[in-house]
Amino acid sequence: MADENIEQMEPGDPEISVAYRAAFGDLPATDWRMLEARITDAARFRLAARRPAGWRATASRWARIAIPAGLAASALLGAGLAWRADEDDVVLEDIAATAAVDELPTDIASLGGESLVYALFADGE
Amino acid sequence: MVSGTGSHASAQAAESELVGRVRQGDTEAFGELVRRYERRAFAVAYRLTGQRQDAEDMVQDAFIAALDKLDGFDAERPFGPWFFRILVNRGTSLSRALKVRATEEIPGTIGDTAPLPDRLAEHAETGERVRAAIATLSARQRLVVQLYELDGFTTAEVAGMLEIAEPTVRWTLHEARRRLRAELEIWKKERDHG
Repeated sequence: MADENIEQMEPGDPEISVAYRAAFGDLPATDWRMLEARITDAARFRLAARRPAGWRATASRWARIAIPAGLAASALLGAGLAWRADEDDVVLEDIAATAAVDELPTDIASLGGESLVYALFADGE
Repeated sequence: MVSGTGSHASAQAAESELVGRVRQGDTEAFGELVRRYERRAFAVAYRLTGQRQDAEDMVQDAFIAALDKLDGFDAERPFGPWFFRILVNRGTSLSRALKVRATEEIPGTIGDTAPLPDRLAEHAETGERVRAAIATLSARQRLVVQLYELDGFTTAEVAGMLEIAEPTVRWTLHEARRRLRAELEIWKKERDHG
């Protein structure tokens, strides 16, 4: 019986409603616009912090990272290429020096790699 | 029935979208969320504090707290129950506030529909009777009664915001009404015989 009443819980019993209002009173009048403005104002900085940066700010942020990184990469690449070029020169000089010591024909000394090996075998035969 | 469900789903989708915009820092969306919930939030806060200014402060505090916690909120779920739980939990001095509320005098004017002068004494006496009947309930049970009977929340909403089972809410309301009806019957008999 009690459960049945509980399930039928509905607002709209005027006597009960009047009695409750007599006991607790209604809500006081409030300026809703002012309250909303006050809350929104208090949230201003939090909302701003959540806002994603615009494309200019994003591009600027990337530029701050990308430009120095690009310059550094270019410098390294340049230094690397220069070092490789020097190393190749040293190898060629060694080959020429060795050829001179072994009294190899200068045309063989100018060869390199596989061609040099074939030339040496041919010379031996 | 289907259209009702569809409309509910559509409202939920719109609210999810609104919450998503607030997450991105959209001030207009935040204002819309405030407009949607400030009145009911104020009602809850006022029932907790009993003071207009304190209630407004509590509402503001709850909205700011909700904004801070928004990233942890599942936007697919309704915002209301989650927000009202924050509001109620933020009322850390709940029992103290209710104690203050319980000792308050009857307001001089009772809402917009103030009774006629010749009925004021009767109205005040009814208020005393009701308070006496409700005084036997716990603070939280009184809050259940106020939120449902005066502020128009559903039993599910009250259960959600106070984190109690819905049958418990219904039982509380039923028990409060039973006590109240008994008290009012006694009062009516006394009045008729006196």
